[in-house]
Amino acid sequence: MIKYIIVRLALVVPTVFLLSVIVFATIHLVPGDPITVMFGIEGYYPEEVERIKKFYNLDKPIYWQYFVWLKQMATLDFGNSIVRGEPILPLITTRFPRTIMLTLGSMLVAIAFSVPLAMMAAKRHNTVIDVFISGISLTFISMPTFLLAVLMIMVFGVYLDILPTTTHRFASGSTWDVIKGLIMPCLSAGLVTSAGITRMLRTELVDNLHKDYVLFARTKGASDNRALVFHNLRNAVIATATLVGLELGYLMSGVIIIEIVFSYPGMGQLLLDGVTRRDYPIIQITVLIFALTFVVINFITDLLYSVLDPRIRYE
Amino acid sequence: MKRASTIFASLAIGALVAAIPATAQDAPKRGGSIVVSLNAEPTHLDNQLQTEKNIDWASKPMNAFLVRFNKDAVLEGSIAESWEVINPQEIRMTIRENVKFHNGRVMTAADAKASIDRVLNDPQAASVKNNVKSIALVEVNDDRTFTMHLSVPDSTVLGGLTAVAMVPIEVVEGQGDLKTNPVGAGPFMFKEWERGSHHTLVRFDEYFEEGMPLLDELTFVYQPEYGAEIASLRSGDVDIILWLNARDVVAWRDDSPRGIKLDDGGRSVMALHYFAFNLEREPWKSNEKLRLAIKYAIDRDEAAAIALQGTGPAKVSGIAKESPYYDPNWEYEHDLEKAKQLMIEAGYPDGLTVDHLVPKTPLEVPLAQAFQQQLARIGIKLELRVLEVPTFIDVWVRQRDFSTTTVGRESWNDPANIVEFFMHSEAPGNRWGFSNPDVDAWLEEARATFDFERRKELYSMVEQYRIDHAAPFIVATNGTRYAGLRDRIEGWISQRDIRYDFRNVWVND
Repeated sequence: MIKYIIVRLALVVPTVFLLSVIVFATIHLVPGDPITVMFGIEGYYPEEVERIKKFYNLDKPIYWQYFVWLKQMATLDFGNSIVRGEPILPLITTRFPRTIMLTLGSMLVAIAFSVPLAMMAAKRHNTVIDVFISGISLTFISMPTFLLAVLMIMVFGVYLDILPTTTHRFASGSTWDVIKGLIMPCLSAGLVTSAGITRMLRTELVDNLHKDYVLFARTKGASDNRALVFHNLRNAVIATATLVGLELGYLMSGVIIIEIVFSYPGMGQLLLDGVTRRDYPIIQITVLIFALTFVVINFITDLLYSVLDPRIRYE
Repeated sequence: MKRASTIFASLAIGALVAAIPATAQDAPKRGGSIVVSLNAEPTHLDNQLQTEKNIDWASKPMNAFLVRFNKDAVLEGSIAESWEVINPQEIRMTIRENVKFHNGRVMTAADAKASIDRVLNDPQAASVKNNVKSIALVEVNDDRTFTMHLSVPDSTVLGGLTAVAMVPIEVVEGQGDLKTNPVGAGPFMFKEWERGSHHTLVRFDEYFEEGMPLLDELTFVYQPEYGAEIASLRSGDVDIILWLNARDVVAWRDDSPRGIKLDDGGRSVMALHYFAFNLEREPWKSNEKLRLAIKYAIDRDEAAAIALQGTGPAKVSGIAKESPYYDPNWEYEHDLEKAKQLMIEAGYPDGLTVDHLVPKTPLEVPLAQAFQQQLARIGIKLELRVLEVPTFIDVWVRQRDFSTTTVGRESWNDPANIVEFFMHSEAPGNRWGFSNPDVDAWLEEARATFDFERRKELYSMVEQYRIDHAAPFIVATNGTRYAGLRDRIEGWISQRDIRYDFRNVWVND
């Protein structure tokens, strides 16, 4: 097991290195650089632009820039944003926890909706309730996250006027302000995610209904509900955990659009801003952090298997 | 009995309240706070180092300037009490007494010099510097008076000073800049900046204009998604959206949503959206008749109606009809038959295919599509190359890899900022390879002279040349900025330049 963990951790290094090369090359290949974008709209002053490019070493070859950046990363020096002219680290440390909070909140919503719905659908499979739940799931799977987000804003923010449409009180407001600011973003991302989990879990639960251990539990006198929750669900969760792990990774990147629609001050907005302004250091760091988080989530999901199913052992 | 008297008392109070004249009820009130939406977070709040409008909009309320344009686009003193043009290369200015910075220090002429010097010397201030680059030296005469020595005669420099914020230089030197902790002499003071979310300003009680500002607090929230901005305005979470889409302006003109009103449209007197040619490339370089064919084929009224849905005017020049520099002789009629004839004379009886570079914005794309439809009528197939804005800037500005393009610009109130900016052979905005010694000479004289009539005549000559030769661009229209306001917002003024003024804004709750 320990050997497995070490190997997996060791694999993270080349993965991240490869990713950093791809990200660095891609953003430098896209036309436009931060200085040209900064001055281009209102007037291009070639001499000034060249002076500033020199200041930020943007006049140097790409490979040179890459190795300087790599050296900085190795010492955990995130450098400065070119466009903002300030250190990146504080920008990340304030925003990353918010994005994690949004992602975990969304997953909580997804699980809170999907587990009872899947159990209800499995218990009443092939009934109207099952078809209804499947229909709802299919609707949410087919619905783009941003559409659901906009609908939520219109219903809860504008017509009912019970939730805030901006999150400007989120950052410096009370705990209640934070919760209110999280409700709609978490619901939008969570409901869409819940649809896939519901369908997967329902299928597993239905498949297990006639398995020996469930029938044995029933013959022992366990009620339908007890057999479903304590015997069937525990086993169905193992297969579903893979999907939850993957969905969590996708949620991390999926919340970017949620952050933009809800003006949520997280990593997604920072990334969008970086891309729009071609702020290379910001793009590199945010993409790497997203990728690293994805890798870590997958790693944790793998490890969780052995916890959920003691038969699984990693060699 | 007690209940009856209470009801009587309530009715009496109600009657008294109702009897208060409407004017008294609507008198400007001090206090209250408002929330304004910006469609992107400013990269910093140092007004002198601004490179985009968002920085100006977000930081201007904290800053004061020597001079400013009033709502009628007329230059007036702000910190400057008076000024005197000693000769075309020397301007002496006297500042008001008791202008204070937010750190409590009284501003002197030495601060004016330091502020101007910073703009001239800091490479990051290149955008602002362009407005005052003719200032060679600022000489401090006494605590309240200073003299600007110009390298060349320059009548535009006074207007250019509307862009130079006055800053306490000891704070700039202490902090390195004012990007994250701005200090100015404006009506509002910096309170907090929550990254990615909002920044908040509070009233500066020692602001030099008595009784201003009226608001206690001004918060700017950042909402990159336009739909979210609209939802926030409708729900009341936001009080002002600075720039509505044409579609919403049209829909809301007659029937605005409950609790929302439109302003009367702020239109810069120096603004344009245009069809431009790369004159370094053929056929535009030498085929004037082809350019003229395009000029007559473009129906400006139709283009404005399509692109702006009637929210902006058809125009023949960037100098609007409201400007004193406007000349009615520039006007010409759309003439499709003449355009077709010119196509034959230009050597393209069967038409041609033209590359057309367009930035992906809500205004430029529909305008380019309108041009595409109109030029198809004379056999020109316009192939639109729509690029996201950063890529567009790189391709258009740095690489100059374009044949024709649709772009726009809105600027300060002096014609030099659009006419000279685009047409002088060495101007930063001349991305077309346009060069004409006569035009250069007229523009240089217009900048050098302080005589309004002569300046008007010279700019008129330049514009007439551009229109007659369809080079380097053909003006079609320009957008009008409509703000969306909650009903409770009063004192809002639609500006004639691209800036916003919150000094007089108050809340009528």
